[in-house]
Amino acid sequence: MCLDGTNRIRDYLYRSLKVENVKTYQILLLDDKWDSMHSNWFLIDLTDSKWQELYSLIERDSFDKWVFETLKVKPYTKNQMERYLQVYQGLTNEDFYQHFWKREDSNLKVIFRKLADLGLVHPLGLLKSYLEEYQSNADEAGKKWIMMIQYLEAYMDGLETMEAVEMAFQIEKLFGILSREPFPIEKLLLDSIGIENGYRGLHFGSMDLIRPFLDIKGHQQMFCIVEQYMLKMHPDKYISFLIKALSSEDNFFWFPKEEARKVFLKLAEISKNQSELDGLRRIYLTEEDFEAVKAERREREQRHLLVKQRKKTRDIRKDFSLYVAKARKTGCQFETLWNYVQNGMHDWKSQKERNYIIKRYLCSLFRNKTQIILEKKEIENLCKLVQFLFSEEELTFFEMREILGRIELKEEKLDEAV
Amino acid sequence: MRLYDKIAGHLALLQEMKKAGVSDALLKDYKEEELLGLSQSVNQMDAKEEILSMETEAVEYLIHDQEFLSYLVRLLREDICDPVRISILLADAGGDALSKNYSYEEIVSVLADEQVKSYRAYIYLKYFAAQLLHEAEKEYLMDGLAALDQCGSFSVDDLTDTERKHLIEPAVSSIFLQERIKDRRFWRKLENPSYCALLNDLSFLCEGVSLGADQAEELWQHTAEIQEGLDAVLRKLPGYEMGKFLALWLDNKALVYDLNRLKYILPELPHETAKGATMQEKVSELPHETMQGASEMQSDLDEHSDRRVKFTENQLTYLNFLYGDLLNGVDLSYLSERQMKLLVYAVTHKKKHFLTIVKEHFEDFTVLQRFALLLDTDTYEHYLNVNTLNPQNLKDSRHLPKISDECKCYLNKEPYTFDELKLLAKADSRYVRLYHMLAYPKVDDRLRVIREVAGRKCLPQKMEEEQYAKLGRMLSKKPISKWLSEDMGHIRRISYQQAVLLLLVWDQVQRLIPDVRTGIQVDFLLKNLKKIENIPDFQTVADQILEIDSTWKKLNDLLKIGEDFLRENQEGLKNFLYEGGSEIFYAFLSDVEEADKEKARRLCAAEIAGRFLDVKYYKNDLEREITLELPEEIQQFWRKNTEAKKGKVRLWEEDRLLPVMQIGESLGKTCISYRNGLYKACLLSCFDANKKVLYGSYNGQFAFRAIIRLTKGAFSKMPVEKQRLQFADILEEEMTECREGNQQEYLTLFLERPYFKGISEEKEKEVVLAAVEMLLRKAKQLHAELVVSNSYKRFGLEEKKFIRAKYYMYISASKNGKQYLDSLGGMAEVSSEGSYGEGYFFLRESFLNPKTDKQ
Repeated sequence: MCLDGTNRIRDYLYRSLKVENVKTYQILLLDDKWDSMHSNWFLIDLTDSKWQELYSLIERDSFDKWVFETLKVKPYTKNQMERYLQVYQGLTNEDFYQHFWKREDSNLKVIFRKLADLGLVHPLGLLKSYLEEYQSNADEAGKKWIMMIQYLEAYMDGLETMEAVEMAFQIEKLFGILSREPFPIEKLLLDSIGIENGYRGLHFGSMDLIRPFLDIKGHQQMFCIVEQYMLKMHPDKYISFLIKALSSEDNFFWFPKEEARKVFLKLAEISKNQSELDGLRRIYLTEEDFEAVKAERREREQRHLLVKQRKKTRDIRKDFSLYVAKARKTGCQFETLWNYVQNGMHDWKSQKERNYIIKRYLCSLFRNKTQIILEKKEIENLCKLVQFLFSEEELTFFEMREILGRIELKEEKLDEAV
Repeated sequence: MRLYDKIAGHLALLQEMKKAGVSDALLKDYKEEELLGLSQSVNQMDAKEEILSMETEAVEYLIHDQEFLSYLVRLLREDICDPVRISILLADAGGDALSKNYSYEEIVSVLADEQVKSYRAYIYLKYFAAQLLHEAEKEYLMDGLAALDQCGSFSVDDLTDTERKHLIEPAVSSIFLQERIKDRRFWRKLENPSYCALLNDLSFLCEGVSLGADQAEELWQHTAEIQEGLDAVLRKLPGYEMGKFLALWLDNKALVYDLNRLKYILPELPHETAKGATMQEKVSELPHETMQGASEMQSDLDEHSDRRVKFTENQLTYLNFLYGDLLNGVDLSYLSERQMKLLVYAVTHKKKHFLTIVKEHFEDFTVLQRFALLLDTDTYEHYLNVNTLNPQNLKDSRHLPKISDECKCYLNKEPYTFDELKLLAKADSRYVRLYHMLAYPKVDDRLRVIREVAGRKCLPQKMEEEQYAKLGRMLSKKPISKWLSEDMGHIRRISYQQAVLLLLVWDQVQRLIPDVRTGIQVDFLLKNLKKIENIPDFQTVADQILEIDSTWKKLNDLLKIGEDFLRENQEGLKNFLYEGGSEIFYAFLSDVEEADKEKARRLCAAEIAGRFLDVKYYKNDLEREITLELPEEIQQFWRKNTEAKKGKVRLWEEDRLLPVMQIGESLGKTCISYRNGLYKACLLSCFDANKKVLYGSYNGQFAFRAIIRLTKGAFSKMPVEKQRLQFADILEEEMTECREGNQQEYLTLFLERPYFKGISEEKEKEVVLAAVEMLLRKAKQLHAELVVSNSYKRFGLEEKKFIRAKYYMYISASKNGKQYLDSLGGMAEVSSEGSYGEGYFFLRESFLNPKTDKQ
């Protein structure tokens, strides 16, 4: 059956039903377990007196659960919130704030942040009190603040308010960034500014140092903390960190461009991997300067390639000289040369060089000879070699004719007579 | 500081460190300025290669002692030693500034010295380099430092200068002092030169021995006396004996006493072998390099030395020699470790009488096995004074196992006599526990009581602590046999086990006992203790038995015997229950076939009506079962139960319902136990007219049973005869016809396989022969032949002129359908009835060969 686009009656109710009185609330609460489907049914707006009766009609755990849910999702103003908490206290005879000292609840973390934003709780003040107590008796403070610490931590997460950043500064000042007690500030700080610590190490792709509520000094202070941390804990990633920090033009707000440029130039001077600085070059160099750098780099690369090629050629020639020296007067010199040409996989340039060096050798070998007497097998190999070099356009037709015109077949009988 | 300056500074630092080869991992733990300073120094000296060759710890060292960098560069460039060696030195130096405290030459002298191990280089430089040790001393020092490593709680830095000098002493690094040097106080004692010298000498001579704390203390307390004593004693020993002697001497922990005694009892060495020398002279003969040298020298001496003195063979020979040579002439070389330990104990505790017995009966001692009672340490140290043993006890010990740990928990008095331990060693822990609850002052009385209980295996498998105490109290009044004869003598067929169970609840049942008549009634009482607790006497129990016996109701639910019948036979029913009938039949019917319930109903109804024997011997059932016509007179003789008594043996025939039902339980469980016997389905066949049970007692104790069958047999195979029989139903009395006999067959009284309990083999034979005599008489009256099962072959029936021969035994028809025939292959079913089972049996000689009788 399809009921107004829904498959089940219950689904229809989830979508359409509004809970208007405590009796309905009570009935539905008893029956239904699918919280996520109907989260709006059970919200308890204590600022509306008709819902206050619920306190005596439903179980306390259920009441608190839906009060927390309500405070989490409803956008109360400061006055409404104060009113709500007063009613809560009136009904339960308990101060709502005591929940932060006594229990752990993910909704309460959101509520704590809301209350802080409304100025109804003061995380920085709480942190100062805690740190004072911690420094005088860590164990006692740990026991007393065990729940509240979690709310303070949750509040600092992301460093999204001035107060949260101030709290992080306080902790760093007193205990340093690496201390895990009383707060694991290292992780909090890195997570908040988007430095990810994955299986390949630190990654700065999402790094964001900008906090609109912070002034220049505040930003610089935060940067210095992270910079010092990177130097000491991850010196191998220090330059990558700087590159990332310099690559965001937003940061010029607190890191003057002129100073940033000097850092860039310093990096350009010492960096082994110049290409990683290209992003920065676009920011800190004029287009002409950047083109000049690129041209200079191209030229340098060109030079480098040339040197490399020369070395390769030198090596090929040296190897060939040794090869030929071994083959000479063995009676199978041309077979050896034919094998030299054929064997091995070589890049085009190397192969070209190998062909060239053989051609040079053949030309010089036949240049001053009127006749060279060879056995039939050697003539065959020489022909194959010459044919190959001719087809590869290494030998000209003239050179080929000159070489072949000077060979003579060795007569076996003649040989025997000698 | 501006951001740029800060970052530029950091970049410069990283560059500088990289150029210098200083690991950037150090940034985590060290200040930037320190690292920058070190890196700059390295770069100025162009020493990156040297830094890279160093371990991380060495570079860390350089951070606080940058002056050493120049030493390092020089050391490496002059190739003084391996870079790793320098790294270890620097790592060990830690906070010490070597460049300030030592000259380059001093450091070179240590690093270049190959005798100084790398990981000892710093300690050596710090404490010993200035002493200019010679090579041997350096070697001892390295060993001494290694030994010191094992001390754990303190190190070389904790020692005083004087104490540290002892590290060069050979003794300190030897096994001899390895345990002692762990005690910090011991180091102070080494400052006494005589003590130190004595230990050094001993460490050379005592190969493989580790000095104990007690011995070290005695050496300390009596250094001079011991030194003098050793000089005197060692002078009388050949070189090859010395090491073994010192090990045994130290092990005995009576150093001064032993030396004083040995000085006098050891004879002088003859002149030709005497190398008479003090200990120091002996030591000085040894090459000081190694302990091995000492042993080599000893083995050299072995070949040439006098072997006259053998007391250093082992601990026992040593102690025996020392304590007067009580085992003189006995070869103590091949004793087991446990035998040796016992003799060592005896020698050291002056158990002279025991040692004399061992010496005189040495073979009886050497056969004692590893787990023998006497070789158990607890036995001779706590439970038994070995001096009280006599030669027979030593002989008996061969077969006595040591007392189990479980039993030892209950042994609470020391010492025990050998007879007590002899009994307890073999007894189950329950009896050991009970033994210790007996209050007789005399051991013999206790033993008599427990022997009786253990011999009869009277105790139930599980007993609570208070039950042991209770039984102990009861048996402390009189032994179980006296309880049985005096207080329970009137109860027929009561077992020792039942008597024990009664004693456990004596207070609850005492008032009822005078009227209890049978063992079955005892079981009834024990089972219904709760229900009878307020009943004044047994007669009242009997009167109320229908109410008390809850099993009857359950049984009759199965049997379905009518209320009218039960009302008419109320007395019979009470007697049936009184004798335990309901318990027996309810257990029997727990897992049998439906047809068996009907058979049981007929038998129970007959018993309750007092007509059981009429049913068993109903009309001509006997003739029909064996398909043989029998004169009435013979049948009457068969029905009549006979009894016989010969010496302590009493025998009687049994054909009543309930006693026969219990044949599978009365002498221990057998396969036809009414409770859970594998062949309990055959049990009701015992109520066939041709079957009875022969029971026997020895000295009043139920000891024997065997089934007897009146049947027929032949010497040749006979044709099969078929006839189906069933128990008579007294409620519908009618039976039919009979059958003709067979002239080729012999009426046979067959004695089946025997079952015994609690008597020796000799007594079993006595019982069997009495039974055979009795049955021969019965067979004669019946004009039948007595044939005895082959199971009796071990009882010497030849004495009674029986011989073993093949015989065809008739398998009679059974009203039960199934019967269990031990001698004819176990269970026989209806299909086998009427056939002849072939087998070997004992037959009278005269039956087999009538001429023999005439002769």
